Amino acid sequence: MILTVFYLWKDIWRQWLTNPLSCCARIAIAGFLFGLALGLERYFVSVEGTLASELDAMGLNRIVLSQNLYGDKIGVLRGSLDGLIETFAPASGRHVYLRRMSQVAEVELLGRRPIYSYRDSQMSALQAIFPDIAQAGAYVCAADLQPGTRLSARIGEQQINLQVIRTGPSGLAALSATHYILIPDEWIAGLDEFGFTEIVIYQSAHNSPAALQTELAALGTLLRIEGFDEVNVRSGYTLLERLEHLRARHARWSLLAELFAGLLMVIVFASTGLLEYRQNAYLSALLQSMGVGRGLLSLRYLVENLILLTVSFLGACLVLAFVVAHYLPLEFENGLSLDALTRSFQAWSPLLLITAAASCVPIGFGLRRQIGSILQ
Amino acid sequence: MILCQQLGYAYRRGQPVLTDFSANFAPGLSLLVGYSGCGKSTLLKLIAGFLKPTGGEVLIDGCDPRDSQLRRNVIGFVFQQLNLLPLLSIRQNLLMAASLSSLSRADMVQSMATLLDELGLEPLAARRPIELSGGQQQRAAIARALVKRPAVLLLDEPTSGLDDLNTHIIIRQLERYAATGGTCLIATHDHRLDRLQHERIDFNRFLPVERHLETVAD
Repeated sequence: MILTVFYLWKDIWRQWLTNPLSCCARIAIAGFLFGLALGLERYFVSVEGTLASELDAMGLNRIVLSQNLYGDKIGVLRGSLDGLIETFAPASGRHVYLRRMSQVAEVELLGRRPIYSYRDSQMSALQAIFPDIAQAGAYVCAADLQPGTRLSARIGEQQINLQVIRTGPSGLAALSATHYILIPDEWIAGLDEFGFTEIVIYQSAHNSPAALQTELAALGTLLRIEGFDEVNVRSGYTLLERLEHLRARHARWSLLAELFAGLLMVIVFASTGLLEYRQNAYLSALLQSMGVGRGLLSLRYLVENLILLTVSFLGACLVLAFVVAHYLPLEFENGLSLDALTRSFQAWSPLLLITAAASCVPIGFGLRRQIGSILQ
Repeated sequence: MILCQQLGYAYRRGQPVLTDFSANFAPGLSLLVGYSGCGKSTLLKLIAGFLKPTGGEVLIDGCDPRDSQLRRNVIGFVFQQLNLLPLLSIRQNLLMAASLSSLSRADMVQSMATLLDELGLEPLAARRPIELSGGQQQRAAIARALVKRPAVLLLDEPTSGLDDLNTHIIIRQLERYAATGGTCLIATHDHRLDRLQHERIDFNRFLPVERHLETVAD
């Protein structure tokens, strides 16, 4: 038996050496298909990762409302969002009202940075978000600078001193800003004449998705009734919904990609294998005449297909990781690490096995041919 | 004991090569003689289970020869075109056939050594088939068929195109085999094999009249 296996392995090797193009073509086609399917998979993983980070920073129970005020709207709508949320917020929830100025500050070391103003009256709510804030004052949020560092800044003609604070655990990620200035409302007198963005960060007391969904629906209704058509609403719950939707699409598309790639590979491998089998029917018949079973001979083709598919898959992983790392602005999880490759291989191994086995089916039929019609 | 009952075979529908052939082959040597195309090789392939009969049946000690167990242990076949495994040496060819059978390791080693010696293949054992002459290949093919000590040995034209020396070596080997009580069927045209103690089966008499005339005309 060992000698038979050894001979079959020798035959596979001989076939690769005598017909390298056939072997390379199979690897190239399978590698290309694996590359496409893995690329799609990585794209979804990457987008999901970004969304999950955003959700993590935002917090599930947080809602951020914003509206731009400029020109005539400033006089009419100033503070209206704050009033609205006061009406809406149940006693258990809390909120912070901020304004983002249309002008920017020139900050030492950091350059031009956006300005957010806050109300002294909301210090306790603000401190819940920024634990480094001890009292009303001017601050600059910068995760990469040492907290407590003093920096000077210029806002218009006014020169002020800023204290560096860390972005809080939940931070202002919802505002999509890094390195921004927080100063009390009183310090920016006259700066808001050119327009600003009102922002309300509302933190619900609830944590269950069902309660948050109800709250979000109620807020939407209130905004519609009060005519706040231009208010932009972002919430952790909406992000969660988007993430779940994305995951469902991910599963669907991955399955389709795997089926498509698998089917094409079965066709390519089965037809190439069948062509080669016809050339080598003699050897199979000879071994059968000596009593080698069809199962073992089919196994020879299964092993050959598995080797080629595995080489194609690993090749596709390496090429994809290289391309993503060097040419695409996507994160390839853990890059070329052995762990990432092993995880991918484990996830895809059932497909490899099914494809390799399905590719052997036509050869299985070929092996049923009568030995006596081949050997003379 | 090989039992053929109303055996029939047609490579193409409506053109039978063998029709209603019945015979019992007891242990000993049997020569199948007849014109080319009269169905001698086909009968050997049917007995070896390499072809499925289109009519009747073949039984070897009551078993269907298409069972791969029988091919591994009971039947040894020497093809007309020898069909040695080209990627293996002569010793490995023998070892492969022996290792597929149920012989013990010791028996396998002894059987190989004896055959290589008796057939004069010992100095050639490390060579591949392509490096041997026709006569040497023929002896190697016989050694491969005999190495598993089969109860049934089927040979298709084992001496065609061979010189007298090689034929003599093969005849001696076949005599040794027959002495062990095996059943040996040889399809041949070679009259030199008449020296063997054998039962002679003239295959021409089994041919249908029209096929007989066609074969004679050919």
